[in-house]
Amino acid sequence: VRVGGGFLTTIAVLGSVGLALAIGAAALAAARMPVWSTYRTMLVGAVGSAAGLEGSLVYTTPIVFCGLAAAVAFRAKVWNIGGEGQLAMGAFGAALAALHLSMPGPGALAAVLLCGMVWGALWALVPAVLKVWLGVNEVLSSLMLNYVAVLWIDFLVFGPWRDPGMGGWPYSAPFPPHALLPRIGHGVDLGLPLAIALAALTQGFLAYSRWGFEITVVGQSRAAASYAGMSVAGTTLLVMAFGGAIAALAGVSQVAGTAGRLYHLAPGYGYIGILVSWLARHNPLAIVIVGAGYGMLLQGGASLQMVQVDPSLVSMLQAAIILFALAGLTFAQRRLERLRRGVAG
Amino acid sequence: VTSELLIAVLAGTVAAATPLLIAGLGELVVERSGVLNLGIEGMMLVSAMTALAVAQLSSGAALGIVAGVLASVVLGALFAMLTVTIRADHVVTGLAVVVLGDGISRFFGRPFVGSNVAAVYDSVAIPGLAGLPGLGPILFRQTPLVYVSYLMVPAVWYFLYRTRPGLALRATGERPRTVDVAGFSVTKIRYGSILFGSAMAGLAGGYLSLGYLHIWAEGMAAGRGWVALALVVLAGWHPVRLLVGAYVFGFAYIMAFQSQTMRGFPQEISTYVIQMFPYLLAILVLAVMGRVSGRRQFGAPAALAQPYDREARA
Repeated sequence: VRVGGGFLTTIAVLGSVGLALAIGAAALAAARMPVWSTYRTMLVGAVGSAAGLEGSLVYTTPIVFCGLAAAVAFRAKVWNIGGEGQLAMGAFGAALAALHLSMPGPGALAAVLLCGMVWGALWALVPAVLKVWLGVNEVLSSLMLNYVAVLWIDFLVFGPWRDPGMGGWPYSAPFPPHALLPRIGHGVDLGLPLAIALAALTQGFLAYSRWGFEITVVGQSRAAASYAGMSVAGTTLLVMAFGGAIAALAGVSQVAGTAGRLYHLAPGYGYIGILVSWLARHNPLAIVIVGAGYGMLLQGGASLQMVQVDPSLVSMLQAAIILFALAGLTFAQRRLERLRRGVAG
Repeated sequence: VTSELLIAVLAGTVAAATPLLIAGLGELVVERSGVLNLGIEGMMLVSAMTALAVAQLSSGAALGIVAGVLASVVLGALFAMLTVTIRADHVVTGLAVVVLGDGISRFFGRPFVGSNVAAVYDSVAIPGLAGLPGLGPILFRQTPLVYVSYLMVPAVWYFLYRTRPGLALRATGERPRTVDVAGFSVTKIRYGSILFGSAMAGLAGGYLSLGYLHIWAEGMAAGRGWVALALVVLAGWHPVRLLVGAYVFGFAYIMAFQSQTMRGFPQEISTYVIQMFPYLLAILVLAVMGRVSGRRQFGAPAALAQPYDREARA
């Protein structure tokens, strides 16, 4: 019976994609836009050329980071909805190190990565500490902090950090060259292999380490974990700090990779990461696969501007996929449980 | 501070608090029935866009509001189907509804971005009451939806605490199995409360675009749906405390968004920093409530966000 789990999940996810595309077609028809040529443009834009494929991979990187950040917390049944804010604070930390710490040579990049991760982890610890000490619901507190973090970046790039050389645009000064993530293609930088390696590491960490085991136990039963002498509070703080540091890397990869400077950051990857993690059943390696699919969807959406279709079609498609998958996966899971119960007697 | 400025600020507070109060009252009823609807922000956006679009095309503000409410209720029905019938996870479904509502409103709202609203939902002075010194201009020279929000507070309170269906609804949020055994339908109660909550979110969204900001801008709810959700927690799931909370946050919004135009306000504080104020206040109040109540989340319905499966073994 267990063998069927992965298969049913895959079928449910693929079916959801198909149904979502049908819904998208209906929306296009309702707005009197061509259906087939729109979808063909998306497909060609995402995978039809080397540049398109690279573009898809550039989108994949931050989504995988944010997906992993959500997954680690969800394994312990802690809701980290603050990926977007942790991403922004990671970008802030990276910019702080790149612009204000004059580290020589390779030390600069290390400082950018480290400083970004520390700020992301600290930002994520705020809702974690509030939850552990004061019982504040982490869904709401981590979400509110997203708005605060985005406003904080806006304050910097519209205010004290604005580069006067940019003709009034809200950008910081450019990062020094050795503070940038090295390119490994035309558009893809070191962030992508880093994200994939981190997914593999997280998979191993969750499956084989003592902490990974404790995270799983806390997620399945807080009472059982306490009874076994595990610290529920400690695990909550751990998964939030860990998730914050990973989500921060998404922000670091945005400012130290693609853009090379700090700018208004509210890309929505933090929210997409939560949905991707859920679709991937909080399995790190599956997050890479689902994240790549979402990367293609976003790159396809970006190419829609050429045919004058609004790229927000893509956010509708994303939401439709997850809604259908929610229905499908919930059904599939119940069916499996019933089968298992039947086998057990 | 002159009394004129004070009256203007307080009248602005009431206007700014109204979407929070309306959406919050709806969510309070939803959560009392044991369902957590995180999708309010998306529902408000779809309604704000639909209301404005219909008002523009038909040049009727009231028709726009009705259309906005209907659009929000469609999203609510979808949410209810997933969370109640299919018993999917409430948090993930809610987040997906936010993404969906944001996408729909951007996609179909594109032609209306930046257009001047012809059919503004105007304020109406209530005869007699509007002339009261002080209170009149603050409370009774507002748009009709503000008056609806005044009436909804006692109405929701009466329904929840003084009627049998209200009792059944509250019991559904605490022990759905007991309600089921007593012969009520948990499914019907939860569907009803979700549809009511989404209609209220729709009213709040229509008020936002037609009665308050008079524009459609992408993402214009700007976190108000989430603040409404926080308010329900802050109010301990009680409608009268929700009223107080909504006005406190209305005041915070007025301070955050209009302090720049006030005389005597220090101009060197960045507008971006000031705009953090409502969110930081929400977190602060949540923290203080956690400290004071000692017990985790006082007043929270026991079965909140738990799908009810009548076939599961108790």
